[in-house]
Amino acid sequence: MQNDKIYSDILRQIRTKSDADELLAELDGLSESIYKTDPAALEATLSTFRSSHAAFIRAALAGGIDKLTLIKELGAQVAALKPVSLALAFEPTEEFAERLHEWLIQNVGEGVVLDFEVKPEIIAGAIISYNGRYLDFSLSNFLKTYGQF
Amino acid sequence: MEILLIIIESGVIIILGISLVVFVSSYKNLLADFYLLKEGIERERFRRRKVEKVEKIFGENVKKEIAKAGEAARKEISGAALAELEVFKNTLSLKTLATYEAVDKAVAREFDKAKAEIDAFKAQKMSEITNKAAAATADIVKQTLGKVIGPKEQEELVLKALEDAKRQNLL
Repeated sequence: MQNDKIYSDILRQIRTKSDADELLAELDGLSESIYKTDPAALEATLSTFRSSHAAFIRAALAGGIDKLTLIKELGAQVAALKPVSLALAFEPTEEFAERLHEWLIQNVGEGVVLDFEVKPEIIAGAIISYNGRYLDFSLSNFLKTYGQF
Repeated sequence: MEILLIIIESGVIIILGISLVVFVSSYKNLLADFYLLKEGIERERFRRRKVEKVEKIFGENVKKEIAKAGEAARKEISGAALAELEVFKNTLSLKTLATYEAVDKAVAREFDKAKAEIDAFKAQKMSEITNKAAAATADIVKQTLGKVIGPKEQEELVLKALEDAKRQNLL
């Protein structure tokens, strides 16, 4: 797609699956105002979006991408993001989520998002699932295996 | 008159004579009857004595025979009864033994069953206690470790998990 480079900026901001779901919901909302020519109506819709998403959409529309193309192409790319599921013992901070996402982009490549699940019972470490496979690197699993818990 | 007197005297004498003859004859008959009667009485007495003697002898014999028969019967009954008693005792012993063995087997079966149930119960309880102890220990360890491992260490462990996942070609 010719607009891929434009989309990559916003796609890099989509770190988690909940970010992706939120953007897809926003694109659904935008599709309802697709035939409205009144700029105020568009702004009213964008005002309900996450500010970074609204700013990107404004920039994209200003750059000449029409609304329908934006919704279809960006929606398809967001839907195609592959989730890397991480079960953690703690609620990750924004900074840590960003660090993890950076690590994924560098080591796995673009097109992946994090899907967090908080499970205090794993004590520490993580249970990781990707592409239908999973590995348990949790401390509870280590204790179960070597400490007979 | 004299003749008449003589006739009368002769008549009286004849009558007296006849009467005497009749009297004597009657006396003789009576006497004969008396002797016959006396003889009959004697004979009867003799017969009675004989009968009494026979009765006495017979009675004694009967008593003896009854006593003998009684003794024999007692002996026979005792023997039969003892034999029956012996058979009964033997049967009772066999039955008792069989009953004892049956009861013994039943008790042994019940004991084995109860023991198995107790063993299973013990094993279950031991397993429950072990599991509870392990769970409690695990909880304590988890809570302690969860508190001991700080946020920085938590994050480093997650990143290490990602590195390991990459090494194992999960990512």
